Amino acid sequence: MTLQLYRALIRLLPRHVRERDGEEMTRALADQIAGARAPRAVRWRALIRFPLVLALEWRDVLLMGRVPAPPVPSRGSRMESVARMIRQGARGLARTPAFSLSVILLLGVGVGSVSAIFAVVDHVLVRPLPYPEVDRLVVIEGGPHSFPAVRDLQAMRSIEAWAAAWAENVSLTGQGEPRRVQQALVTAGFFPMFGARAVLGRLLQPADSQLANTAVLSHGAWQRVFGADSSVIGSTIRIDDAVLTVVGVLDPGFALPDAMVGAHVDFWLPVDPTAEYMTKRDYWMFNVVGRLGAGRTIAQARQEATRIANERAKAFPRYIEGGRIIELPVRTLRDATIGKVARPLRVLLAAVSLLLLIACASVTHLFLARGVARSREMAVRRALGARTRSLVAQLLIETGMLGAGGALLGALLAYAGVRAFLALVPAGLPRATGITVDVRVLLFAAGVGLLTAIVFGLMPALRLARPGSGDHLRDSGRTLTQSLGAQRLRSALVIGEVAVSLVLLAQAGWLLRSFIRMSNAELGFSTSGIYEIPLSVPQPAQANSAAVAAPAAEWHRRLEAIRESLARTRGVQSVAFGLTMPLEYVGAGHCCYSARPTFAGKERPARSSVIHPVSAEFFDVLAIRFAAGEAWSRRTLTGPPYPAVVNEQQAHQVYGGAIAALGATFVLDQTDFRIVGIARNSRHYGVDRPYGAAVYIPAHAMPFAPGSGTMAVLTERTDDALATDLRAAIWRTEPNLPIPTITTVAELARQDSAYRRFDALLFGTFSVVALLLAAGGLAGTLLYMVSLQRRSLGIRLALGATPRGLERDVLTSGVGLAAIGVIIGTIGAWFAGRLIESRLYGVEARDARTLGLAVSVLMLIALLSSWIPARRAAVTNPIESLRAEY
Amino acid sequence: MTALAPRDLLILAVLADGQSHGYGIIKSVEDRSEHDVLLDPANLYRCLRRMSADGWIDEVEARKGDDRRRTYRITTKGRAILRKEVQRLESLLRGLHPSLVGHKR
Repeated sequence: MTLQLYRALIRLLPRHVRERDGEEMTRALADQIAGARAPRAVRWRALIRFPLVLALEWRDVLLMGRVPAPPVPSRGSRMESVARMIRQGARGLARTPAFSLSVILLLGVGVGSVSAIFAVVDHVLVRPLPYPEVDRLVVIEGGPHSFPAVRDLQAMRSIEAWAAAWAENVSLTGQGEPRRVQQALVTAGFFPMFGARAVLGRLLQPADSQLANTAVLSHGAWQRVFGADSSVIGSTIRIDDAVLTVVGVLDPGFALPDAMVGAHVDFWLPVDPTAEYMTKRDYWMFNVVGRLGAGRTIAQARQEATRIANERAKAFPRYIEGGRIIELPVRTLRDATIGKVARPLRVLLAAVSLLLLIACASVTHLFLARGVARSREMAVRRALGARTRSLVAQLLIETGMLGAGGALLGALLAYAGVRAFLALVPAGLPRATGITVDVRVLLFAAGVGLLTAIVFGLMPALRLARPGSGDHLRDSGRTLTQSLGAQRLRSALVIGEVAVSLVLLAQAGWLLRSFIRMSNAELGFSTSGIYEIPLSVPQPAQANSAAVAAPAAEWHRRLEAIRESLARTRGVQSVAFGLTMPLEYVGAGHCCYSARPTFAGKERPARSSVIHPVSAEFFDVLAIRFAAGEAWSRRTLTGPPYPAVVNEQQAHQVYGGAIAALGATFVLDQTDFRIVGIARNSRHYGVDRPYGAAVYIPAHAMPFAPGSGTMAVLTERTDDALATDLRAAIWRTEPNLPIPTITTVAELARQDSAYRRFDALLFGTFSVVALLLAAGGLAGTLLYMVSLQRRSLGIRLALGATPRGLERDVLTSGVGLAAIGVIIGTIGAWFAGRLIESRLYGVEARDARTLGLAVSVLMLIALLSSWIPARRAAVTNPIESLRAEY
Repeated sequence: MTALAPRDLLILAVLADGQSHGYGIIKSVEDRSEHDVLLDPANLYRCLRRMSADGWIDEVEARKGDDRRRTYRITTKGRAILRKEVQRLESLLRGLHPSLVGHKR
């Protein structure tokens, strides 16, 4: 096996080496392997060291011209002549380093950026999800679902297997400092459905659900938390007061189903179907995936799901929200996983392909310019008897070498680009882990590099190899003024470059505007000097259902104690807590408590409101302003009815205005509240989320214990010790509480707009590069035109034309070309605008002002890049230019 | 003269003791260097090609009837190079020796 491989490698050596020593080398290796004590090491060494020798031998042949003494016989002369051509080509390219490097650089940038985005798109969109029978996996949306709802779904006959899962943040204690970890509760069908395997121990089995005291570790958690110690199997861990036995470690290669459990899970626990919360229809938490039975279609599944949705809505009114039945849409797992990013990624790929196109146009410019110089060389060689075929082969080899150089640089840039992309890309890109520059991407880069070089470099070059081009020799340089075809091609390229640049520039402008809009958006709360600390305060395990009110009071007491401790920290001005704080949860999900309060004298509202249980300091700390009334204080905190605040949206929805709502009462979970203030609307769930109706109630009137809460600390301190001090303050009252993060609200706001910044940055970069390339193309073309027309310019000057007139002519032709490009580009941008419509915020898609600005920028640049060539034309010396030979 | 690479020195030293074929050279070099210099065929034959081009070693025609391995033997020029290199190394070591063993002479 090794010997065969070795023989194959030897075949790659230059012929003289191969024929002289090939057999001997193979024999020596065979003997060496036979006589070695460690044959594997010998084999390995022989193979790994081979490439260097291979490279050295070829270098000797190609660059040093060290071809061996025995002259080449007839066989293999083609290889030798290719080697000669490569040598010749390399020398030729080395003679014009500026040209060669420019081509390689342009191709490299184009190929690199396209390949980097291709790597992402290929990994995220193209590759099938790595699960068995993945085409039959469907997600039942309309969730998360309660466990009884999951049971309802099992009536679907088109689905043969089910998996339900639910991920949440919990605390792991007893392994050093307490830490926040992500656990996923999964049903017995989960691991089989996704084809997961254990590297150690076993995975969860149906029997585990009965006891619900086992856990499987993710490979990452096993390494991080337990130092990859295999004796962890059988040991116990403590998660949120539950003691669990570790039974296995999951395969590191297991790809998390993002649509089910998010992008990160540390512990896998069995769902306990007997637990009390599992019987409640109000605990909505599970994501559900089913596998279609053989021969069943998704359409059948949709029909059945619709029937179930209708039936359950009849039985339980909670499945009717705002007068509409909560539906159960069925989508393929693939759709559910990548559906949201498919379009943005394709837009990105399209944008970066435009960039490649511009780079290609620039390469063509360069080849055209060089072609003029080469045409003489070609003519001389033709006159000396070279055939068209060998001239074409020569050109092919040269462009191929440049393409290879561009591809190589592109591969390196792609590697850097993917890393930069992953560093910049906001969280939430599905399947983001594992994106690398792999063989597929490298092949892609090589293919694109070579193809573009050959298509865009060879086409202009081939014109040279045509027999007719020998005329150049006869006509000296005079014919050059007449190479109209090349001139037209150049003009078309400039127009194309300008058009494509405008498309990119307009998109970048729109995205940038929406990013700026978003950064300046009115949040409705202050972001400066506020630190948010999310905490998990699980109910003690022994809490029994006899004392129903106790857990809520306990929740409030513990958070209040932490609040007081934090408030005593040096430099802290004020501290508030609530179930959630602004921007802590962003996106579509309205965490964590929503309900429909009954407002006195009004009909029950159709839509539910978000309920914010907060401490009295909340409005002060976050500087939330009031439209009417004021916040409750600790002194006015009596009840029932308890004081409450609603936002303007809620007040308008129910009472038609802020003042009218003041003093009204409502009932929430059998508790009475009185509205004492109307707060201005705020963007609690993210800058681009619409305002929803919100009700703020005193935390101590909370009807149940939610198990978590978030502190908001207002301080002017920014020193490094702040986080340590705040942690210490919390641990003084709750020694076992893990503290995951201390984040400023400003930082959360920044993260919230991260993907818009990402968009703006990426498109901005693309468009600047495109603009530079287009400007270069325009200037280059005009300069070239001027230098070709020096003779005719000279004649015109001699005939009485003014330098100013010549200058104007060149300027006009430059700006004219750009103007045509701009017109085409405007149409293109108009259509392309639709693609990014969904990513804009506060900006009309195809906002005309931005487009106008982009057009002006482009025309200005066109004017500037035409100006230098125009000056050049104006200073033409007629005598000199008439004398000038090409 | 410039120093020889350890690999070249070892190959010359091996051939100075008698002619040898490729595998024999690899084996002897390995033994003499106490497994410090491990050769693979590609590198070995590249060295051998260079040395024979420089006239340090000769290729010996394979004997009929025997196995067909090509053997190499050192030339007079090769011996001269080897001798010079050994002398160079010895004088270098002599120069180092006092400092290594201190005052004892």
